[in-house]
Amino acid sequence: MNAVGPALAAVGGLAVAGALAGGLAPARVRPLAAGLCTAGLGAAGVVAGAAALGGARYGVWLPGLLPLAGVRLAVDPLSGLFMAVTGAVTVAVAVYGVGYASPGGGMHGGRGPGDEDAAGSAGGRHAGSDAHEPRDALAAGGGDHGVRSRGAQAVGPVFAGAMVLVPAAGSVSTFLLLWELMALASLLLVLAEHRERPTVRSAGLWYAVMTHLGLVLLLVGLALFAARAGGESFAALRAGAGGMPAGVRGTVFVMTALAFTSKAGLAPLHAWLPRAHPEAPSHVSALMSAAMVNLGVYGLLRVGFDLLGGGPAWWWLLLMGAGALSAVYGILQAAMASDLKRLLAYSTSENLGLVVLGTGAAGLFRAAGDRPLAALALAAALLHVVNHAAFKALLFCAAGSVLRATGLRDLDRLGGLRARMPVTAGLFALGALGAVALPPGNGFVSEWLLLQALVHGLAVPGAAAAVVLPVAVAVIALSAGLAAAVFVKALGVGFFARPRSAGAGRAVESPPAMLAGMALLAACCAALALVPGALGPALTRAVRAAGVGTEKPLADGELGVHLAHTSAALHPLWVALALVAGTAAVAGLARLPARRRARRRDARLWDCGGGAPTARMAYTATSFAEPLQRVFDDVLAPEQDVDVTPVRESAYLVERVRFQRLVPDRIEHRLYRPLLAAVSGLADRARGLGGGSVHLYLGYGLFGLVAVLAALVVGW
Amino acid sequence: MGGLLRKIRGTGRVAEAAPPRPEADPLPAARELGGSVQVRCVDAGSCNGCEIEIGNAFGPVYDAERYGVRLVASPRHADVALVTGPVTRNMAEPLRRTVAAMPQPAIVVAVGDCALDCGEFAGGYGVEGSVVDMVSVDVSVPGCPPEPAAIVTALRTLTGR
Amino acid sequence: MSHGVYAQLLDLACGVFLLCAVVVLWRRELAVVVRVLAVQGAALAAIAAVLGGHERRWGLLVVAAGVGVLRAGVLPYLLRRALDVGAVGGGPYREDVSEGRETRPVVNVAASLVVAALLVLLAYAVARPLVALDPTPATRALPVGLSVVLIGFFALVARRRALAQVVGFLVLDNGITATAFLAASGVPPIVELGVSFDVLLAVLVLYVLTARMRAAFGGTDLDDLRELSDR
Ligand code: SF4
Repeated sequence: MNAVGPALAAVGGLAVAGALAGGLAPARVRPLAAGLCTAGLGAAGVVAGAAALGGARYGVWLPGLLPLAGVRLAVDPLSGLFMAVTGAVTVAVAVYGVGYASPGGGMHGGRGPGDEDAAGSAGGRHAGSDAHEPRDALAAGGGDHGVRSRGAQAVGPVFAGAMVLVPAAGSVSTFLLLWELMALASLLLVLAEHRERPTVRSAGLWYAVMTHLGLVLLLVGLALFAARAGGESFAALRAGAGGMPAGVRGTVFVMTALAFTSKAGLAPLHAWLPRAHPEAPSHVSALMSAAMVNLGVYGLLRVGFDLLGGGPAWWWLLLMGAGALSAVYGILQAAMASDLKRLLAYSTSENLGLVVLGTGAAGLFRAAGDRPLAALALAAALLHVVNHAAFKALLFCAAGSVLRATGLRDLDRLGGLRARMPVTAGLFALGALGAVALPPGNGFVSEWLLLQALVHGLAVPGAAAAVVLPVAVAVIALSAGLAAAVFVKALGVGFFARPRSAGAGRAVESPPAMLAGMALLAACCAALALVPGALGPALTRAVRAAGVGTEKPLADGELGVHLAHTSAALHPLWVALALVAGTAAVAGLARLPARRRARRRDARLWDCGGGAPTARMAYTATSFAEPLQRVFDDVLAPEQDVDVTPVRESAYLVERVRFQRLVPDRIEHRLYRPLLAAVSGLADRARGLGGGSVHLYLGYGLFGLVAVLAALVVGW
Repeated sequence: MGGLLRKIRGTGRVAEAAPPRPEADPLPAARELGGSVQVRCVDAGSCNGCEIEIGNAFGPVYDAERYGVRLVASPRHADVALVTGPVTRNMAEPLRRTVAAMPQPAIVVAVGDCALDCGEFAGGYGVEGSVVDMVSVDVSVPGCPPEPAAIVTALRTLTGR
Repeated sequence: MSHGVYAQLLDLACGVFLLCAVVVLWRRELAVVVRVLAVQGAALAAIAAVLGGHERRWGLLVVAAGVGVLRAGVLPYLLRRALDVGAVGGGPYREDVSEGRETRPVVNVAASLVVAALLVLLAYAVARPLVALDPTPATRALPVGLSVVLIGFFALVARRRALAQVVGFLVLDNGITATAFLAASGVPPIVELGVSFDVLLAVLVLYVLTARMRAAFGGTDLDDLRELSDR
């Protein structure tokens, strides 16, 4: 008897219970009831995942649950890993969500008129192509719409439940059903605040269209796969994949990979992500960015490695290309973003890019026959999934706290939160440390592993490996460097210095439930940063379940990370201790001479002799990003616009200068715009067919019928 | 690049021979500086005549730097404030703050007649007073504008070189 | 009923059936067309009755009677009434449009007949493999049913008057019913009943619609509806 079955049943039951509670409970206890159910189902997901990671396998066919195909569940350690991650994120975010949906928050008070001016005409804004003022960020007051509404509270548990269950699916129909349930539920949640901000609607539209295009690709790809394999259970697919011609396998892989990478937010199919993630209520953003995108990776692994059983090198080179592109592009856009949640969303694109880069490398090594190295690369990718989930959930939650307390997402107008929201600031700093891939953050460990895998991969023969792997190493290094700049910006500009607007000045610390949820995530981050080796056996099992390698990528039984096949080892605990000791020593040394010289004089801050600088003169996120933007001018192609208005009397006296800068998403401009224009052009032309004459319409019908019949005749 | 190098070689050294060290005793406060003086210029409202001469004093011909004087960009780095011009209303407070922002001992050198007694601009509606009225002046360099040599001499009394 | 007689009766009924469809395309007077429709309904009932008699399926005879009442009686009667109302209340101020005649068909009569011939050819060509499956007299008449479907559809496209279109629609439906009878000796009576009821309902709706159109536009030229389009 293993724990997976009952735990999965609990997930399903609690999702339904949560939906009912969210839909029916009175407004006062609604968030609490739904939140508790969600947290419970998350915990059940963790139990199921942990059991599966411990080696338990589980499979069941419930023909009565769904007409025709029935529900088929199959859990192995690979599913277990993703279920555990999703479940853990869900628990923490559900706790956080209870507080997030509770009444209160600083921005409900009157908004000072100074707020408007502070935005100022001279403020150079970086913003996405259609980013509006995100000022009116959160639902005010009543429970009839926004995050507290019946609908949003009822859909939340369904979303979480679907996400936890997706990795447990054991057949194409079950998988697609849960996948679509997850997509629809998240779409509804993204739209929760559509009355507050018009941008939500456009974000929802983008998300709806892209996720459903993905679904169609997935549907066609998997249906093709199932038809060729002669069965739709994963076991049948696995058995049938070997005998399929290479062309079909390639088609299946490319179609599903497109859908999965789009779900994972990889460029160039990322366009929905920087829209939908910022516009969703923050706890939903956390779930989407830390859990849902992972399932894209899960899909890639499941289909690419497990079901198709690996493939030729070009599949994986394609994946590595997409991963590398989104790693660099995502972090560059994040560096330009001044909307905190948009920044985090782009960073998600970057991190998933790194994960997919690792996945692609694993496939490449596997295709080259180097199983141990493939296992190492995949283990690194999976560890990065775990790490990213922890720190990104924490960061989005912290951003949500800021949003709730100030009503602002715009870094240029935040600031000074370290004093007003010290706990949130500290937690954000911890998450940012994880995200910058520097020791002692948790992101460092997995990126180090990834680099190890790629560097050792240089021994793999072949021209592709010789060219691609060094480039991939450079990409990881570049993205890590840029990530440092991004999070220094987010933390420094957002939380330090003085408040740049009235909203930021009124901020108060978040309620305990939110802090508790974030603290859970922070604990996860810290544990992952200090003793990642504890995950070693679990990663080994997951990698083995993916069918990539039977060897252990990481040596067991150590707190540090010790690569089993090379001599490399990393002991994050010692690194952290050394860093702490070093910092303490440096700080102590710095104190020494200061103590010796007793004479001190208090002087006012040097302000160039003029009056004290106002908060508006402080370094903003835009200013911080400016040098980087110059360096990457050709890549980013910013659009700027200076508009000088002289006074009426003289052309030389300036009354007003309006400076505006947009850093558009270039992929979007180059790829999506022409496509959309072409589609709407075609649609316009198609309108001409509808002349309004009934005879014309009937004629089309007759013509179609006759044409089909004629084709039949000719065919015979 | 080659052109620049050729120019440097062709021009050679244009600095005038160093005049003898000034007789006057260096200021007691300046003795602490040990012959290395960092100077911050403050234009408190001058006509820029003085600035041109200061520029020349630090140019290749008079080359004040060879006596241990250097221009710096912030009062936080400066030992000496080189103040020119009558002090205009807008510059009165910044001037005081600049001197206050300098590390002790803060030495003030007033350059030009205007700095000493508002010179040409005395009584102007925008003039608050002379530098002497605003801060305590340690060394003064008269002249409208003073010659670079005079400025260099005054600075040499601070470096003692 | 001997086999030979059965085959001849069936062929006769089918011939009349197809001929009526062609005549619907040929004649312009709506009154005549409606009468032809009644004849076609009777021919359809006859097909059903011959089939039922031959195969000794008395349920089919009941269906035949029902079909006959509906398609040779009720529906033509309703159309006739609509026509009379139109003739009385029709727009006298539109000279070129006489409600009783299809004056300006979208496709003129000669071309219509050529097209009808082509459609019949097409139907025969399409049905060839079906006939080859089981060459009985009934299946051999199958192309007739298909031809009538196509001709009815064409009448729907080619006629301007709302009433003429209703006739086209009914011809189309007759064709479908005939195909069903010929291919599978008829659908179960309950389905046939449902379909007939549907058709009756459709005609009633069109009847009302025609009256409304006449009130709104003074005529039932369907091209007037073009103004309702969004362009
Ligand atoms: S002293 Fe003479 S040169 Fe110097 S600022 Fe005054 S007017 Fe100008």
